[in-house]
Amino acid sequence: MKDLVPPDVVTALTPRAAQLRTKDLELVAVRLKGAGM
Amino acid sequence: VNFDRLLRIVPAGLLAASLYGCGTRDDKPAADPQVAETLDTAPADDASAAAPAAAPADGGQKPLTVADIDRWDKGMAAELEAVHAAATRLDQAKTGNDTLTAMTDLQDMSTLEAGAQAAGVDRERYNLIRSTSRRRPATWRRPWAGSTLPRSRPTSGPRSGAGTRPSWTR
Repeated sequence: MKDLVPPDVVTALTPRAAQLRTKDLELVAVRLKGAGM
Repeated sequence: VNFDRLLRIVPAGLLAASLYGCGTRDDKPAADPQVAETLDTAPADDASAAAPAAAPADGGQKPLTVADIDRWDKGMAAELEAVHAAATRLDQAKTGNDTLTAMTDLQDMSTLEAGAQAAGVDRERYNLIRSTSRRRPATWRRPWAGSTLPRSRPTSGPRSGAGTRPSWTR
């Protein structure tokens, strides 16, 4: 994994991690809700 | 057996299974780090403007770049729209076939194309960006990186092991 995520990407992603994570979870939630679960 | 009920349960199970597997490890080998450095120095505007057809065939195997974060963000927005559209179609479905189609469109792999198009990369590359970025930062490092456990045998102490053997083995 370290080879896939270089340190500069980790540095750039860290401040936005919470926002992107929330968006990703929202996407999962909409999928489940749409499926009636 | 109620066929309509079965039509809703079976795709729901498939959806749950696909969501469970969406964060699994990608077994593809890592690409040359020099290639990643070259990509990192490229401006983000040029990279995001690239058409999917212009993306290299092995784009999925290259390490993530800073520009990929924005690609993932754009892709997620497009996937969210696709999921909302599929959910609407599911609500309005009148036949079993409509229901199955809409349920399929809700799944992770069905919205991959929409995300990849919005991100400006091919499906394989977007799948790598998505699956890698979804993981928590702690899992980006090797499990033993930063561990306090010794990586090798300690240099101090008896090397033969005679002093550490239990008494019943002597």
